Amino acid sequence: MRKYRHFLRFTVFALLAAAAALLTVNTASASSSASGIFDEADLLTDEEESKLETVIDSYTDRYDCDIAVVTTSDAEGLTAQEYADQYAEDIGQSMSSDGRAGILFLIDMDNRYIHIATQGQAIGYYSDDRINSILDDCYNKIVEEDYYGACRCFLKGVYSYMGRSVSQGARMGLSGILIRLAIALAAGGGITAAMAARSGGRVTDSASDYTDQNQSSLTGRQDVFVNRTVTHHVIVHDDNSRGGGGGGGGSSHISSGGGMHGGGGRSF
Amino acid sequence: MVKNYPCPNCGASMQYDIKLGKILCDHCGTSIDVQEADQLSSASGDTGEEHPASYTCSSCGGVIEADPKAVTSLCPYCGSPLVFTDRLEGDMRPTGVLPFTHSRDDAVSAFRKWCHNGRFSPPGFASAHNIQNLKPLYIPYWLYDTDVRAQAHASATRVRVYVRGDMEYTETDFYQLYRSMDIHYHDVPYDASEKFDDTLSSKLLPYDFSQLQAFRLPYLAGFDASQRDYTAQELMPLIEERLDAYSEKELRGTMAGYDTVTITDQHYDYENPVSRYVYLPIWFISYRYRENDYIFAMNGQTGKVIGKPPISKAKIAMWWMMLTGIIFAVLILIGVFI
Repeated sequence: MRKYRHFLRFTVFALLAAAAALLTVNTASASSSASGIFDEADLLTDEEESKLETVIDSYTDRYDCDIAVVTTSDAEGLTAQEYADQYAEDIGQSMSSDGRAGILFLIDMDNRYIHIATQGQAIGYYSDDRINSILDDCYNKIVEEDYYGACRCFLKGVYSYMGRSVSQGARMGLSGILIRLAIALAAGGGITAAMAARSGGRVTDSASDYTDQNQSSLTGRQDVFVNRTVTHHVIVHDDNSRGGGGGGGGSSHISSGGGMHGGGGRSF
Repeated sequence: MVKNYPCPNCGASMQYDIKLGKILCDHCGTSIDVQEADQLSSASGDTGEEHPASYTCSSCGGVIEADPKAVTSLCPYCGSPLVFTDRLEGDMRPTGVLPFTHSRDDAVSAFRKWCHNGRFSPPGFASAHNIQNLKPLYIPYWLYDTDVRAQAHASATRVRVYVRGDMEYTETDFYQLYRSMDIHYHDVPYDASEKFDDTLSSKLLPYDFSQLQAFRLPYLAGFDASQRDYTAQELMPLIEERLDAYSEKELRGTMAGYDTVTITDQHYDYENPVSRYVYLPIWFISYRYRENDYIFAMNGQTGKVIGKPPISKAKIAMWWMMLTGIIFAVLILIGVFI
């Protein structure tokens, strides 16, 4: 084992480098009023609000964006999308598609609708597929009336995709780390097994080692035809039609206030 | 009777040297042909019994306790390579010997390669101390020549598939086959030692018997060797079993052109068996680790290696963890920076 001291040190060094890369924090500007919890429908306890605010503070710093969570029991006659867009503009999130990234999560108890509105550069980060995947998680919590859980799922969606263009893929989370660990274990095991493998040896001699062609001869041969059987079946033709695939990308629209917004929602 | 080979120049005891192919004196470097060494008058030291249990060294007179079947020894007092000539007479005298072509250096480097230089082996396994135990041995074998009359009956089919319009037709023709062949086998080897496991010794084959030399005692000087444990007749059924399988393959080779062939009966008659008693060369070491015996054996003529090295679980675990750690770190770094 002593011989491998250097190899061990290198392994430890590599792991430390990886850990450092994962935990790197970008500090940016201070948080703005365009972020926060706006629990107008009083769905969250004080403690839950405070926990969510801590996460929002850290993410707005780290990813240089505005994050808002809004609940309401009166949509003032608007659709959830209209209400969310307007709320985002009111609190000061960006109105142009290349402005500061902003995202808003609305739990609308009036329309019974959850909606995610994206503003500024976030419109580009949040494709329809990504929005739908976040909404899937939030929806499962909403139907259990776990509103705090739904907000946490939303914030997980912020972590995964804020700042990550569609070609980049999601930011590495716990599942990403675990998968990499599983792959590393499998690959490490495979390589070790391959290195250590040693079959005990195979039999490699055969009849040709002990016979001479000119000393062996065929002395008798008979091939007798016995009978013939024929079977048949009808050939079945298969027509496969192939459907076309869908595309990704985030859709966007202009609100009545003139602001550019993206995102999507669903009813519950 | 005990024999050693004193150097004509300085009197020290000589032994067969693999690289030279001659009988060599370590002290003064003189070498002589095997034939010449064979003519040297033997100094004797026997105890007068038919098959004595102890011998007296013909060089220094020390008393040696010998393994009952051993035909050679190294005198524990003066280090002379000795041959017990009385155990190599009559029906215990081999007709041939295949000399080593792979020297100790070849064997040691093959051993290191075989156990990955000890990377996964228990500590000390690949050490110089353990490698000293690598020994060159001569193993007793019987070589058989025989004629076989082989016959077999078989059922065979030939299948044809074709399409007419909307229908696919499968046409199967059934045949009965008969084949008979006369086959001659030569130099079929079988291990005549009880100690050496037969499945291991069969994996060391083949040897090139064109290099077989007429047996002379000096070939054995410096090598471990023992008398055979079995007669040619005793091993014949095992040989026949092996040749039955070869002959079946030969017969099948003549039943070509069919899609399936099923042998329904087969019969093999052996005639004119001729057997020769020979010594074949092997480099050998055995090692006990955790209640198991591990064996390394190398064909002394062809260099083929067999056997599985002992594996230290602790070392395997360490390598696995190190590789996992590095691959994991690399995957994380790639994930973060792409």
